[in-house]
Amino acid sequence: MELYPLLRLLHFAGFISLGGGLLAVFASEWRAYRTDGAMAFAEAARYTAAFYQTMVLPGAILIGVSGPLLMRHLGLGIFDAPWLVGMWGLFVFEFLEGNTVTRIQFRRTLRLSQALVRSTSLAEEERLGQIAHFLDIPLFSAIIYCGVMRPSHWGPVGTAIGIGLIMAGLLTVLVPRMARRRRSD
Amino acid sequence: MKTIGKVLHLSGLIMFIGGIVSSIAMNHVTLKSEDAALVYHQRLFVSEITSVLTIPGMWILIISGGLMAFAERSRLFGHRWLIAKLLLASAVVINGAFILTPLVDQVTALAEQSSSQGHLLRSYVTLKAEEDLYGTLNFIMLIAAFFLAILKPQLRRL
Repeated sequence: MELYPLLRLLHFAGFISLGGGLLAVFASEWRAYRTDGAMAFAEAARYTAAFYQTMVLPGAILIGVSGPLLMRHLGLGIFDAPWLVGMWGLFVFEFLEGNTVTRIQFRRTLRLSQALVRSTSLAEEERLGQIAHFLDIPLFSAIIYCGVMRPSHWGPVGTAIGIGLIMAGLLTVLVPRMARRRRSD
Repeated sequence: MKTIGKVLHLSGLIMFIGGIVSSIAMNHVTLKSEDAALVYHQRLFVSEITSVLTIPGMWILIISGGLMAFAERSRLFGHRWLIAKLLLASAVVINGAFILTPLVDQVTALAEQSSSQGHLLRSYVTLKAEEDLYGTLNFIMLIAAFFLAILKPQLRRL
């Protein structure tokens, strides 16, 4: 098999694993937000950790390995095109954020939820560890946009990142409110 | 239209495969559990993932695939790998929409009954095995279609 199709396959597989994992984490967090029971919250925290370990992390590693190899194979420099800078820049940001802030928070939530299992209700401050994840999907969408549309100017790349940040802000504000409303219904 | 179709197709694929793989990951967490309440909660989550990720992802894949096929209609039957991919995708959709989706609901309903009775019902175990079988079949076909789409082999006649 030639190297290029193989690298392309790994790159796509990485994106599917990472994107699918982030969506599954979002669904899990949405479930955690909606519940009042400590048991269901603990279960959602457990699944969030499982999705990170089985989908997000392997996907990020696949992208991190195949991406630079693809660039080398195609003879692309790291600052050659705005879409390329958008892709690796956002990926590096997400990777660092995911392995520092998000990882610490989901580990903390998991530990906390295991200690809470015997409780009957859940305090609002115990949910705060979830917020950092709302940045992941909008920025991942911006990476997909850069990779598929390949804009040759900085304007569309900046617009995509801007829209991603606005979406993350909206999710951070709206999701907890919607979840609270659902809990009170 | 082709580029928008590609973005949608990739998004649909991420949702569809993401939904399936996350269900596999959840099954793995409760693989050997005999706790009917835990299994029931896990099934509720599997059903939720199926309804918010897997099924919408499948429809996005179908619609975007249709858009791209329409844009490339003159060359649609010129590549054997594309014909093979379309056949596999059709089989995945038929299996997913008409066999797996009703099975997921039935298994979750049986998990609820198991939870209320305090132990896993035999009918739950049987139907869950059936769901696993069709789920594995769908996953294999989907991976084969994915390989065809990315590698685009010539598929010469022997």
